[in-house]
This record gives sequence, C-alpha cells and structure tokens, in this order.
Amino acid sequence: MTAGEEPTVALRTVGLTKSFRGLEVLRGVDLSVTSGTLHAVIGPNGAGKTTLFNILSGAIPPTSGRVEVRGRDVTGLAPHQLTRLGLARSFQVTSVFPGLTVEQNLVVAAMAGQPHDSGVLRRPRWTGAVAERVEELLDQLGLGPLRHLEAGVLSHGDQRRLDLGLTLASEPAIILLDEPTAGMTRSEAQQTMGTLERVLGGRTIVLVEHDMDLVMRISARVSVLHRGILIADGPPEEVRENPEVREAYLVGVGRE
Amino acid sequence: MTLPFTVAGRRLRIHPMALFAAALYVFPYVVVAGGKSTVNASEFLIWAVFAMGLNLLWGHTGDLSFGHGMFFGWGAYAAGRMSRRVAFVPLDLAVAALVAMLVAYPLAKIIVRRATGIYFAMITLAIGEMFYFLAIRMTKITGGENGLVDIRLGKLAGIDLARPANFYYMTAAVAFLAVLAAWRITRSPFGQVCRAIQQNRARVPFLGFDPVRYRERAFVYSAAICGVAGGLSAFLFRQVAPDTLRWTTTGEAVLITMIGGLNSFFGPAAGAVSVKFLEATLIARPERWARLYWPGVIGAVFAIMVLVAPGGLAGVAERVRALVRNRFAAGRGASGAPGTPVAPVEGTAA
Amino acid sequence: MGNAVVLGAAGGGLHQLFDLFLNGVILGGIYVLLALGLNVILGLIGVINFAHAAFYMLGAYLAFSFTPHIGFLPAVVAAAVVVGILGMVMEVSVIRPLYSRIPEHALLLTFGLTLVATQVVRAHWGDYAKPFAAPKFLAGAYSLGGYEFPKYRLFVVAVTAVVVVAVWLLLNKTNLGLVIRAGVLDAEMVGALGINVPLAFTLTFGLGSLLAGLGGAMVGPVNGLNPDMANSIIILAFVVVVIGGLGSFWGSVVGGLLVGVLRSVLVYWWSPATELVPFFLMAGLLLVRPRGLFGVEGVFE
Repeated sequence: MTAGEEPTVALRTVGLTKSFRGLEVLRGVDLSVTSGTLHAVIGPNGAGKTTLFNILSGAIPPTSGRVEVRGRDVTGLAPHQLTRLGLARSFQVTSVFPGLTVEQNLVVAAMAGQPHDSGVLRRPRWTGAVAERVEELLDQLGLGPLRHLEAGVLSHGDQRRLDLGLTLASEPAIILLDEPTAGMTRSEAQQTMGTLERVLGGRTIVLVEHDMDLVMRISARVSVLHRGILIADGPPEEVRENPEVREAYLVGVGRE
Repeated sequence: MTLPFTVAGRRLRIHPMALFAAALYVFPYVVVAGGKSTVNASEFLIWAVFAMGLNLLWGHTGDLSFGHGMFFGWGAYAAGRMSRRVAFVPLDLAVAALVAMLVAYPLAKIIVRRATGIYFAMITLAIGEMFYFLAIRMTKITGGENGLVDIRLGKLAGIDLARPANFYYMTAAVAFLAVLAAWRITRSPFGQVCRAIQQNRARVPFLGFDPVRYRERAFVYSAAICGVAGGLSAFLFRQVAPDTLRWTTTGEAVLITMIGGLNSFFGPAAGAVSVKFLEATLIARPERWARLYWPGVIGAVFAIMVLVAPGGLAGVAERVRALVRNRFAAGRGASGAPGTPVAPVEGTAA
Repeated sequence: MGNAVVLGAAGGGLHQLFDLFLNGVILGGIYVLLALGLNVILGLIGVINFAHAAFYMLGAYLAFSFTPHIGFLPAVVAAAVVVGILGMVMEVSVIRPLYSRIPEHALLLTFGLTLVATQVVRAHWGDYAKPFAAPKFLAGAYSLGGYEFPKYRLFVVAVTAVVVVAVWLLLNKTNLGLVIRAGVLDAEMVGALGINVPLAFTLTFGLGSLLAGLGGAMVGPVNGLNPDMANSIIILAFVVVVIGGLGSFWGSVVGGLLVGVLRSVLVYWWSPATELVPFFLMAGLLLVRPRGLFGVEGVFE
C-alpha cells in the first residue's frame, strides 16, 4: 500500500447467518477484513469460528447473508472457485496427500496458481513457473531435504509445514489460517509463526487461534465470537479490555 | 520418467514405453512357448488394454466402476457394425473409441457428481446391466441375444489380418497407441490432480481444483480405452455377444486389474496376462475341478489376494524391490525411507 | 414372466392384472428380504456384501436338499439358520481384517467368494435348473370372488410380512437394533461409545445373511433353482437398495415392493418391463433424488 491510498476491504461478511436444523450457529455476523492486515477471530469453543471459516472458504453455504471478496459477491461459490479467486485456507487437522512425495504435493498445489491448463496430452507451458514456485516453497518452509519422501512418513510438524505449503502454493491474496499452531510445542509454534511472518508479509490473513498471547502480539484487529454473535471487533488492546469478552471467556468453555 | 539400467558399469536410461514395445514384440513367442496359441496372445493383450483402461479411472481417481464392461461392449458393437460399412480396422476402432466416449460422457455427468465409493460401484454395476438388457431387445442394431456375427476384418495395407500373426501385430500396434495415450494422460498435470483426488479428495477443492470435473474426464478417457479393447475383441472373435455388456465382464476386468496391481501403470497388463494364462491353462487340464470349475479357482485366488496382497503383483514386486534395496543400502537409521529412490514408483512420479 | 400379453375381455384382463400384481408382491417380498439384509450390514458396517447373493442361492439349494429329510418348513428355517451362521463365520474370518481398509476391498473379496460359491453349487448340485415343488399342504389355491389365490404365494407373503415386522421390532426395540440404527448415522461414534462393536458386527452379518438365506429358501418353489441365481439377483438387490436408500429400513420395504410390483404389473402393457423397469426407476431417482426414497444424505461413501 502506498501512502495516501485508501485501505481496501479484502474480505467482508454482511449479516452472515447459519443454522443447522434449527440450531443457530452464526447470527448476523458482520466482519470486515482490511487488505494486508492480520485479523484474528477468537472466541470460546463452540462459538462458531470453524463454521465461519467453512462458509468463508466455500465448504458450506450460509443460511442468509453475503460474503464479499474485494467487493465482489462470492456467496455460495465452491471452494475451488474461491481458491482461484485468491482465497485459500488451512485446516486444523493436517491434511496432505500421504502417498505423494513432498515435492509432488507442492507441485499439485502450485499448479492451481497458474492459469488453468488442462494439458492432458502436452507438457504444460508453465512447467517452469510451477517448478520455480515449488523450489521457493521448499526453501521457505525448510522442506528441501525432505522433498523426495512420501508425505505420509513425515513427522507431524513437518506435515503441518507441508500443509501450510499446500495452502500458500497458489499465492493466494487472502489466507484463512485455522489454528496453525494447534498441537505444537512452544518452540514449534514459534518456529511456525516465524515462518508465517516471513512468508506471508503483505497478504491478508484471517487467523483463528487459541493462543491469546500470540493473537494479541501479531494481530492488527481482533474479532470475538461468542455463541454465534460478534461481541467485539477492534484493535487487540481494546478487545482485551472489553468486559463482555472477559466474561465470555471466564463463563464459557474456557481458554486453551 | 525413465528407468535406469546399469550396463557394463554405466547407467543407461530406457523409457518404459520402449520396454513395453519390446515386450509386445516378444510376447507372442513367450505365449507360444507356454503352450498357447498366437490367437491367445492377441486375446491376452486385448484384456491387458481393457484392464489398463479401467485402471485409468480406478487407479487414478479411486473410482471403482463395476460397469465399465459396458464400454467394452459398446466399443465392440460399434466396431462390428462399422466394419460392415467400411472394413478398415483403424477407422472402425476409432469409431469404437468415439462411441464409447459419447456414451460415457452423459453417464459421467449424471453419476460422478452424485455418487462416490461403494455407491458409485453399485450404480455403475446397474447401468452396465441395463445396457445388457437393452442390447438384447434392440435386435435390429445389436443382433439381440445372438449378437453381431458378420464382422468383416478387411485388409490393412494389403496385409491379410485373418492370419493370427498379422492380427497380433496389428493388435500390438493399437495397444501400443492406446497405452501411450494412457501414459501421457497419467503423466500430465491432469493425471497428477487425479492421483491427489485419490489420496485426499476433501483437500483438493481447497487447492483450486474441482474433483468432479477431473473424475468425469477420467471416466470418459478410461471408457475410450475400454472401447478400443472391445473393438479389438470384435475383430478377434469375429462376433460380439451381448454378454460383454454384463457386469460379469467388468467383474473379470476388475479382478484382473487388482491382481495386477492398482497403483502401478503396467500392473494391470501383467494381471491380464497372468489371469488369462491361468484360465487357459485350467480349462485345458484333465482334472474336473480345473476344467469345469475354474472360475471358482480364479475367484479363490482373487479373494486371497485381496486379503493378503491388495497391491497385487505390482505391490509384491515393489516389496521385493524394497527388500533388495534395503539389503544393499549402507546403514540406514530407523527413521528414513531411502533418500532418492532408484526408480520412482511407476505411475506416481511427477 | 411371460411375454405374451393377452388382450381379452375386460374381465380376463383384470384377472391377469391381479395375477401379475400378486406375483409382483411375492417377488417384491423376496426383494425386501434381500434389501433388508444388505442394508443392515451396509448401514452399520459400511460394507457391501457381494456374497449376499450367494447366500440367497445357498439358502435355496439347502432348503431343496433338506426338505426330503425334515420336511419343507423345517428345511426353510434350517437353511436360513445355516446361511446365517455361514455369514457370521465369513465375517469373523475374512471380513474383519478388512475393516481398516477402504470399503471397496470388502466388496471385492465378497465378489471373489461369490465366484467360488457359484462353482461349488454347480459342482455339488449340478449345472441344470432344478424344479422345486411346493409342499402338498401349500399347493393349490384359495378361490375368492372369482380370483385365485395360490396358497404358496400367500405363504411367502405372510412369512415376509412377519419377518419384516420382526426385523422392525429388532431394530427399534432391542439393543442390537439401537446399535445398528446408530451405526447407520455414524459408525465411528458407535465404537467410541464403548459398545462391543465386533460382536455387534458379527451378529449383524448373521442377521443379514439369514434374511438372504430365507429369501432364497422361499423362492425355490416359485422359480426353481439354477446356479445362475446369484448373478441375476445381485443386480436387483443393488437396484432396490439404491432406490430405497442406502441403509434404510423403509427404503428396503418400499423399494422392494415397488420394484417387485412394477416389474410384474407393467408387463401387461409393455413386455420388456420386467427387465428394464428397475433400471429406469433407479436412473430416474438418481437424477432427482440421488440418496434414494428414504436415504439419509451423505451416507454414500
């Protein structure tokens, strides 16, 4: 962003509501994520964060309300369409392609970042670009020495890094990170966050996390969900002092 | 991807398709040496193509179609009928492939989106059977229960195809082209996405690919190859029976493909040759249990194999290869798979 | 099912229609038994038992062999029970190791076993179709208002109805039934709840196989026996399950009866109906309601 430019809204939800068979999981959620910022979504367990992510990534449709990406209505689009528009997500549970090598995993993911070439009977024109991207990713994630190993035999931490690589391979402008440090040790978490900061500079990130210190340290803005309603939305310091938020965390299922 | 060979201390790289071509050339001699005829060799090869066609779908996206025999049958009928107008094998086979694809496309569009896994297998099974019953009824077109009988072979560039040896090499040429097409498809980006779908279908859309579209296309490509195999069988046997459309035909192809090895490229071909050879051997034996009840023997072998060696012959070969490799590898720790594989596993290399 | 359509007086036509209808109900009943058996196994265990058709065939042949020794009714019961036990033996020995694998493996293994079973039947009972006469006390028909009700057919309908009610009671009033119904919705959770899953699986397999065997045992006197029975019935069983909905009780009942009756009755107007109607019905449903009439969404994997 150059000086004097209006900050744009990368991702927005308007009145997002989701009910499952009569149970309202999200109620009128209005979220606005500014381009190039890291926006955290927090809340006690069961608050609806995963559902929100599922709707944002196209996995499930909302019951009512809209989702907009850079001003464009993308409500109800399928995940693969959203990814092509530049919105990618990671998952809480590591999800890679176990029978493919690390390199092959990244190749498949990187191919999606190129203009779609069905290339069945020809070698694709952009092979070079894909290979370059894969090298870049292997480097950034420190997976180079593991490139020929099958993803299924990697350690959990390595798999998570690969999973991250899969999410980033198509160079998405907006990234939804679903608890990226879940299940990690302190040092692994710090390492991961370091990698993320290095790799993600300049992109728009929406982060779901339970690690409060982390969230408060790195977010530009924090939204708090409680029982499907947005009860707070603002800079971290503001949110931290918000009495409703404190109550939600104390009374609710509790912090990690 | 090429296989490295060490000859006189130097590494030579040979493309697997070249090896395949060499194998095709030598195959009839092996078959005859094993006590069968050249006609058998053609038959085995046709089943190999059929199985590889099935594997193009099953071994890549993981969709098990229990009705692909219908494309074999459609190809056979198409080639057979076309031969009555123009008895020119290459044209007739091209028509066979085309017809198979034309039938496959709407089916793919309807079924793939709505079914996966076991459900997909059940529905394709039923659809195949439906075509069988339709074929029996449409006597004008298919010859009804008796099938097509007057299939004309014609000549190919002056060569008389009625002679078994000539027919075999024609079949081998067609098989080579079909397998080459399958090779290019599996090695392309399309093939890579298909394999990813098999490994983790849920993740694929989030990467940016619509698994439904890929599965549909794999379904159609695989149908085309099965159609070509069917066309070849029409010329080999000079007749087409409606039985080719039945699920029992697909059943045999499924059995063959799995015995050969699902996740390997040439595995199904090996499976076809092995199973068909076994069948032919059993039928010729004097013992009652072999001669009359050989499907039971094949079924038992298959069931045991599903239980203990689901990777098929290719899986067994891979395990042996790994064992040999580990023997020669210098002191490996418990954590590592060997670094760079000597020969990338067929069918999965980028 | 004859191909000839008799265009006679309205009375004759109506009689024939009724005859076709009753025939359809009987066949439908057999399909119901088969579909129920497939569905309880599919619902809880998530496995398609291809050998289901083989059990149907074995039930028929065993009843045929037992009858001269112990009488018809005991033979039917005995055949069903033996087949049920066979099913449990199969589950414990070869299906159990496959639970950790993708469900297609169980489908394939049971397919292989079906090939073996068909050949065993051929070897032991011969290649040719065998007629199986209904026992004397069930031969003949009741006459009521000008319509004939063949006794054996009524017997089949009655037994099927009783069995369907019994299965309903089992599913809804017993612990095993609860486990099965829960398993249809979420098989993993059932295990997590600490229920003796292996035992439940084995019993379910036994139940499913018993239903197939019973269906086969009763169908003998209707159509005769032949070694191709398994191959021809498997398709119909699958089609009924798809139409009714995977793992659904009411789907089995309604689907089975619907297919049976339509197959039979539509012959009056269109002779190829017997073979083609089930497929068209299935194809039609697939287009508008892929989960089947009573299926639960998202169960198909």
